[in-house]
Amino acid sequence: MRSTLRLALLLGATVASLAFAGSALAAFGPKLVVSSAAPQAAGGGGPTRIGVTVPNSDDPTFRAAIYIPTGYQVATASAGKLGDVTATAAAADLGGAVLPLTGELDAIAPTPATATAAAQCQVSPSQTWNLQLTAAGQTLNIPMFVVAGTAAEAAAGYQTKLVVCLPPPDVPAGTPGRAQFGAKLLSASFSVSAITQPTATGDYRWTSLWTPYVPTAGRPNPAGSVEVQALRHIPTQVKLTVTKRKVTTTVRKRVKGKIRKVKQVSTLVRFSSTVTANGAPAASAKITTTAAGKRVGGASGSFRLAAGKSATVKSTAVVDSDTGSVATGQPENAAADLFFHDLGAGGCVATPAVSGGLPCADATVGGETISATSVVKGFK
Amino acid sequence: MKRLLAVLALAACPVALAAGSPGVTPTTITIGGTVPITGPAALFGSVGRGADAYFKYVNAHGGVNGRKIKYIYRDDAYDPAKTVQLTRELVENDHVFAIFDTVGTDNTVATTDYLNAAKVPQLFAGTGTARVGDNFKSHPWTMGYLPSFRAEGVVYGRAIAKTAGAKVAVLAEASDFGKDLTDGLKRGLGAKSSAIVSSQQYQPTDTSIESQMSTLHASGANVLVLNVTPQYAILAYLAAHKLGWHPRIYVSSVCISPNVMDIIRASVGAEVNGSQSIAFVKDPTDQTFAKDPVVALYTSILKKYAPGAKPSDVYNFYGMGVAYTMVDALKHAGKSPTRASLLKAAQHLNEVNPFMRAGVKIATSPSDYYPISKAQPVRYDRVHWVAVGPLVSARG
Repeated sequence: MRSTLRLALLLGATVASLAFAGSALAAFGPKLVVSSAAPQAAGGGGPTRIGVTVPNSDDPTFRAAIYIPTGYQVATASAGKLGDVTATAAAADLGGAVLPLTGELDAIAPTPATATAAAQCQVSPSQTWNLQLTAAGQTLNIPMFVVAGTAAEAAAGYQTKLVVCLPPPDVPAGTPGRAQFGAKLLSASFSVSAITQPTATGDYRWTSLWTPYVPTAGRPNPAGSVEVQALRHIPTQVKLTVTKRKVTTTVRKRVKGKIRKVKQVSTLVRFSSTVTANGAPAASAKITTTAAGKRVGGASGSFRLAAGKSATVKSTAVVDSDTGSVATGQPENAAADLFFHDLGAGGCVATPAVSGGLPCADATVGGETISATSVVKGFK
Repeated sequence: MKRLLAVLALAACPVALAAGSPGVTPTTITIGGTVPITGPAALFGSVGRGADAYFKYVNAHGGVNGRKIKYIYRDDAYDPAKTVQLTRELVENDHVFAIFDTVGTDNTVATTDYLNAAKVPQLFAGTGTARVGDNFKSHPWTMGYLPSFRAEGVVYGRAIAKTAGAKVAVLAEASDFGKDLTDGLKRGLGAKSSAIVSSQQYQPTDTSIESQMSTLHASGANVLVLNVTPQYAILAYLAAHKLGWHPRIYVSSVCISPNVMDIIRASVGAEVNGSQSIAFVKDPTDQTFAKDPVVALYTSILKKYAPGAKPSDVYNFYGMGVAYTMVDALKHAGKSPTRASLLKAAQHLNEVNPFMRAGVKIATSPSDYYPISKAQPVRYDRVHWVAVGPLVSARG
């Protein structure tokens, strides 16, 4: 059944290739997402979170080179854990089931195996990192190489890149070098303490070059390569403005058996929040405001405080998280996904020094959740 | 002179022991087993690693009666022919004292004649088949560990029999494992056994079960019983999902490790909710057991003796549970253990095993070769198996 399907797909692809001979036909639409590993500090800084996603229907990934823009600091990491990793992969050996993978990113000393992988990946790494992932009791080790950019890449603002090469998942079982479980990468996100965000304000454009495999052939398809990018606006901030006004009302109350007019004091609190990304309004932000832990509104609104009471007003903004996410493989904990705002091809600015003129297919803005608080003391 | 003779006699003692009990020296006891680290049941591979970690922990705390346990486990890729070959090597080349926790029903059955002829204890094999549990007279040297597959099938059959309008489809491995579960299901259904509207089998080497699943779907069944191993459980859930088929699913207890369920959940989403099974070991990933001391012990043992092993892979936990029983049996085999004394100890277990759920005791007798007598019906709810009702019998 599966062979028939594969054959049909292959035939379909062949016919399409003939019909559109000369064009880059491969279905390959990866996305790169960059955010912060922890809520962004007002002035930037802190570890970085990087995510990638590839649709299940796309050709398998052979190589991904992620270029780190100038301004980010890449430390030479001593051996040890750099961050956590989650990933998903479709396992051909399990009927295409989605493997949720978890593990960590480690800095390691090069080994003969990583040296071989670096040679196959055609890189001379300055550091060797390892994505150690487990699924179904099996451990998958994927070397990640930290590589100095070429002179042209450095001149374009990319002095360092991360390079990963993956084994082919869709060659026949038993083929040497085939991916374990026939696992095809669908998504991965990892935090990395060795890459710290800039403290200087600015729009930082990460870029990446992706090369797929020729489907079922197990050989790279350089002509199918695409450039995709991720933008970081630093700082991305929420500004909460809170004002208060004393409100005095007169109410009738029974006091010692008689109806009397009594003055009551309360505080009218007005709030409004704005989100800026490197000084400009954020493309997408969803704001909720709470007072003393209870929701009191969205980006703006008001509420009353009783006399003498105080409350912490908190504005929480979910920024640039409206289009999609890099799945962690934990559907019950969707909040753990790395969300993004997709700018599409129109948001992508080609980097010839990286892509050599290949298509610039997509750009995203990495999502994050930020907040601001203010304590309001009510009038007496 | 007398003193010299006494010294010589003492010195000769360990040699005599070693000669009398293969695999036993004054300082070590060597046991061996086979585990599918690769192949179609590689998901069970962590059983060996978990057991090994537990033995190392026991060794670090003085061993058993002063001896360290040396555990040799080899990858049989779930292929009974390889199990036979590797088991023979363990007995004849490695001179193991006993075979421990052979994983797999066919793998166990394939080696019982040889081991019983050689009078080598084959203890706590990873099977609940009647061909082992009921054959204690003809094959006394072989004892399984899992709850009886037949009893497990009975539990599902009884539960389904209470459901009006149930039309049952069964997918089963073509083995004693699948047969026992299906026989038990029919027995549990009793007068309602005609509710089974379709049955399909697969070979443990099959790479696809799509045609079987299509046939089962076409039967119009609204209940699906999966008498299968983990890989095929994943394939079955995925196939049902692709077919748009949403039956109530009963899945064999050998499949319910969180790391298997994680894959199913990531693949089919909420459709996995409501699945039913039975459980006998605690789930170290479940908040219900978060404060259980054995979970902290399990995590610390894994961290120290099996670095890189994932605590959510409950086959590690099961491996430790069965290793706990093996240590218990070795202790009761005495300070000068023989294969016969080990077998006798295994036939007289009366153990509260901390890795098992409350109320699930490990008990045996010379005529009771099912160490686990009770199990807990469970239902899958979002991320965990939740206990449903009281413990039920898991005897043959």
